Amino acid sequence: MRIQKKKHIKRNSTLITGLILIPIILIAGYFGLYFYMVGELTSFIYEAEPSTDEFYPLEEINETTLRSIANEFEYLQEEYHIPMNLSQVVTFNATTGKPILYHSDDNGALHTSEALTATCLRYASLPEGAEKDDALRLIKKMLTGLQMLIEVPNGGLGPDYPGTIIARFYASPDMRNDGNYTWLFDEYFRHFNGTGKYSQWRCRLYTSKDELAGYFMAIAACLKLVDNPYVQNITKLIIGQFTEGMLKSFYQEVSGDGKPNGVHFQWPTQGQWKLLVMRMAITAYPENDRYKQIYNYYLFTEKYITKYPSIGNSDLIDNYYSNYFELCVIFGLMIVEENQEIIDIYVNNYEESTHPAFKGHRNAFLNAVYLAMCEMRSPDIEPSYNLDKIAWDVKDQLWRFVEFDLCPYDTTFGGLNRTISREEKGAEWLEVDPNIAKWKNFVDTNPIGKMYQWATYGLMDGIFKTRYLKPATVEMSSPTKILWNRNPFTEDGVNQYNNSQTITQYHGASFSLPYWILVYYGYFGGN
Amino acid sequence: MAILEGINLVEEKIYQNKLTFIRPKSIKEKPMESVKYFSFAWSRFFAGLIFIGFGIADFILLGHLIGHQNEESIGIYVGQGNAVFLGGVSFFYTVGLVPLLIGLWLIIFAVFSAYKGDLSRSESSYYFHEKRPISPQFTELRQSGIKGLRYQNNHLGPKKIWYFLLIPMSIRVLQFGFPLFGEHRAADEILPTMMVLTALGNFLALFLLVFFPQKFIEFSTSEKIYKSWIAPLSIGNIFNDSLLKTLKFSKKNAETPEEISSLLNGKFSEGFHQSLNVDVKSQNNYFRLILGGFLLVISVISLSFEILFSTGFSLIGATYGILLIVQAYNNDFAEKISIYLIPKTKILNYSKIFKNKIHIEKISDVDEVGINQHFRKFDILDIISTSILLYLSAFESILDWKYNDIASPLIMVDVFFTVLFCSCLLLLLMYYWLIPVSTLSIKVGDEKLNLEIPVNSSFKQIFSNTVKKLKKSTQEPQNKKLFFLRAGIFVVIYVIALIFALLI
Repeated sequence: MRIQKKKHIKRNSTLITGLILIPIILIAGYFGLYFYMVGELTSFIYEAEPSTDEFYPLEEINETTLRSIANEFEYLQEEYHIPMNLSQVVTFNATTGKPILYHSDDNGALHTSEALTATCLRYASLPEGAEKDDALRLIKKMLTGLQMLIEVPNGGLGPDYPGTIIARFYASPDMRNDGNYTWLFDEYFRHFNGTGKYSQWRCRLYTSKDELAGYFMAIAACLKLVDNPYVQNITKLIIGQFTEGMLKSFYQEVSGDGKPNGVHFQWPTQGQWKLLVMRMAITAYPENDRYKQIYNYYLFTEKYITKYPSIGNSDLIDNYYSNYFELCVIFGLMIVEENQEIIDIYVNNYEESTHPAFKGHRNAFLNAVYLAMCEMRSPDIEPSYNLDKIAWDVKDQLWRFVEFDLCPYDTTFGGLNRTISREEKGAEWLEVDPNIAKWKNFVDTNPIGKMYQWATYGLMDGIFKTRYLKPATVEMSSPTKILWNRNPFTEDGVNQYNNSQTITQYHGASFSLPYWILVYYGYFGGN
Repeated sequence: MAILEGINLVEEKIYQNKLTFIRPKSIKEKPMESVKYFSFAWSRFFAGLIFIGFGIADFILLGHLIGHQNEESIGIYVGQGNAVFLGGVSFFYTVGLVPLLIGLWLIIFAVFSAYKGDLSRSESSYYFHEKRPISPQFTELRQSGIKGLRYQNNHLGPKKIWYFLLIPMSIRVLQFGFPLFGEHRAADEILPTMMVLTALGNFLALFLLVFFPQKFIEFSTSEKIYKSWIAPLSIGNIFNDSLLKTLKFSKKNAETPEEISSLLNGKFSEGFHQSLNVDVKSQNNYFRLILGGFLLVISVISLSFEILFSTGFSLIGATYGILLIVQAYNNDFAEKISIYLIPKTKILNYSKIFKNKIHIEKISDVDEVGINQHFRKFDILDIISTSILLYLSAFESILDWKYNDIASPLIMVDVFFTVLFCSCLLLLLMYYWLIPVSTLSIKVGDEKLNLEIPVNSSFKQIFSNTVKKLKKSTQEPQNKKLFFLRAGIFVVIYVIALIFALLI
C-alpha cells in the first residue's frame, strides 16, 4: 500500500518528476555535448570565406574558351560516355586511343541525370539551329536511359504501370556476353531481372537517394526546359509513373524483391522531395486537381513553406555527398515552381537556413544553384550575399579546367598525370582545423569522451578525418564522375596516375552542370 | 465524526506497511468482515502477451538485420526489406522491438505484482494485508481516523501515457504497412501483414490496458493518504460486493431514496443541503464523447487522404480523441448515481455505476453537499494536447486561407472544410475548457471537494445552459479568475498562430 503524508504530496510529486526528468536530462546532456562537439567541428565551415586574391582575374577568364570547353564536353559525352544511353566512365587504350572498357556504375541514374540536366540547360540557352539540334539529340538519348531505368523494373512506362522502383542501371539480354556489362548478370543482392516484357533484362536496384535526387532533377529539367513534344511526352509518362508509385507506396522506394529498401521521403527526410514530386506532377498533369491539392497540403498544411527547401548541417563533415544530392532536389524544385511568391519564399528559406554553411566551400555546383535561385527570385529582393563574388568563384573554378587542360577530364590530368597537392600551393593550404585534434583527444582519452566512441568511430566515422581550413580547388581533386559531391576540406591533392597503358576518362558534368546553370541564368553571355 | 461511533480506542502500535507474511500476533481484534482475493494484473499480463507475441513474430519473420545485406553486420537478410535508410535496419526494429520491450516489462510487472490480498474489518480498524512474494506488507488503519474512502475502477491516472506511447507509433506503422500490399514484385505479403497485425495488436493491447485498469482504493486520514491498485481475479460483482460489505458501504440505503431524473431540477439543484438521499436515474453526457469522436474522425480522414490537417495534428488528435472517448465512457455516463448524506453521522455515501465501471466515495465530517458548477480539472497531458491542437489547427487554417488557390476546386473544398473544422474544434474546446460542468460539491469543514458527475444534456439544453453558465462563470469570483485565465490562454495561442502564419 502506498502511504503518503498529505503535507508531503507536493514534495513527493516534485521528487518523482525530478526522478523522471533526471534520465531525460542526462540523455539530453549526453547528446547535447555531442551536438556541441559537432557544432565546433563544423564552425570553421561557417567562417570560411574564399578570398578573391586566390581567384583568377575576371579579365583572364575567357568566356569564349569556356564555351568551347563546354561544347567539347558535350561532344565527348555523346561520343564516348553513353554507349547504352547511361553515362559511364570509359577507359581507353593509351596507345590506340580506343575505348577498351565501359565501367560498371552503381550510380548510373545520378551521373546520367547530371549530364542530362546540363544538356537541357544548354538546349534552353541556345537559339534555333544546329547546336540546339545536337543538344536535343543528346537529350533524347540520355532521356531514353532514364526512361529505361523506370520501365525495366516496373514492366512498362506510364502511370498505368507500377512506379515504386527506379533502377541504378540496366542491361538488355544481348548484353550478357558484352564484357562491359557481364557484371550486371552476376548474382548480387542488387541485381534483378526486369518485370513483364523486360523479365529477361537485368537491372541494378536497391536504389539510393542520390540516384533518385539526380533522376528527379533531370526529369524536372526536361519538363521545364525542353519544349520538344517527344521529350515532353516521355517526361510526362515518367512523372505520372513515379508520382502514382510514390503516392501508392507512401513514398517508400522499393527494391527488386518488392520490399522497401529503407529509402523514403517521409519525416525526417527534408520536405523538398515530396514538393518536387508533386510540383512536377502538377506541371505534367495540369488537369489533375488532386496533385494540386496534395502539393498545397504539403506546402501549407504540413507547413513545408516555413522551412523548405533546406539542407541540414549534420553532413557538413561526414557524408558530404548528401549535401550535393539534396541540392539536386532543390534545384529541380526551383526549376519547376512557377508561382513567384512561393519561389521567393523558397529562396529566402534556403538563403537563411542553408547557404551560410555552403558559402565557403568553393563548390561550383552549390554556388551555381544559389546564383540560379537568386536570379529566379523577384528583382526587388536584395540577396544576402555578394552575387558577383559568388559568380566569380564559380567562373574561377571552371577556368581551372582550362588552365590545367582538364578537357577531356581524365587521369592524364592535362598531361601532369597527377593533381596539384596542398603542399605545392603553400603552407596556408595545409592548415587543419584545430578543433579536430582537440575533440579527438577528448574522445580518445577522457572518460566522458570515451562514451562517444561508438558515434565518432562508428556512426559518423569521418568526423575526425583531417579537414583543412581552405577548400580544395579543381586542380587538386582527382578526376571523378562528379567533383561537387566531394568534401573540399578533406582533399589533400596527392593523387598520382599511371597512364602508360590505359587512360580513364570521366564525363564532363563537373564542368558542364555549373557552367550551363550560369549560362542559362544569365551569369555568362550568350543566353 | 468517526465512521465507527462510541468505541473506546486503545492506544496501540499501528502497523504501516510492516513487512510480514503473517498477521502480527499483537493484533487481538478478530475480523468481523473480510474479503480475500488474489490480485493479478491480468489485463497487463494479456496485453504483455500480445506485445511479446507480435514482437517475437516480427523478430522471426522480419529478421533482425542491421546494415547492408551483403555486409550483414548483425543478423541476416530474410527478404523483408529495410527501414529508416538504405542499409538501415530490418522492420523488426521499427515495428516489433518497442512492443516486445513493453510486453516484457508488462509480463514482469504482472508476475511480480501478483499477490494474495486480505482486506478485513474489525471493530475499530481496517487491515490491509498484501502477501507479495518479495515484500509482503501489512497495514492497519483506525476507522476513527478515516476521513475519506474511495474505490473506483474508472481511474487511469498516469496510465494515460499508454495512449501517447502506443497510438502514434501504431498509426505510423499502419501508414507505412498498408501501402505495401500488392507490391508488384513482392513474392509474399509477410511484411505488410506483420506491420498491420502488429499495429492492430498494439491497439488491442491498449484496449486491455485502458478499459480494464486495476481497481483503485484509497483511504485518507487527516494526515495521510493510503492507496493501492488491486486487480482481483473474480467474476462479475462478487469481489465488489464483498469489498463494499467489508468497507461498510452499502449500495442500498437504509431509508428509501427518492428517485429523480435530474440533479439540475427542483429542490436538489439549489444551494447546499445538510441531508440528501437520492438515486438519480441514468445520466448521459455525450459532450466529451462527441469531442473525442470528432477529433478522431477528422484525424483519421486527414491521415488517410492527406487533406484537412497535418500529420502532426492528426497523430495528436487521434491519440487525444481516443483518450477522450475512453474518459467519456469512464466518467460521463451513469446507470445510477446514489447520493446519501446522513445528517446524524455526517457521512456521505456516493456511488456511480455504469456497466462494469464503479466509482464509490465515502466521506466523513460532511457539513453540506450540493450541485454546483465548476470548471473541469485538467492534467498536463490535457493542457499540452489542447494547446498543440489549437495552435496547429489555427496556424494551418490561416496559412491555407492565405495562400488559397481559387483556381482549384479541390483546394477550395479542402480549405473550406479545414476552416470549418478548425472553427468547430475551437468551439468544442472552448466549451470543454471554459464552460463549467456540474459537480457534486462537498463541504468538509473549510475545505470543499468537487466530484464531476454526469448530467443529462440534450442539444437544446447544452446551448441554453451554455449561455447561462457563461454568464454565471464570469460573475462568480471563484470561477471568474479561472475563466479569464483559460480564455486568455486560448486567445494567446490563437494570436501567436495568427502572427506566425501571417509572417510567412
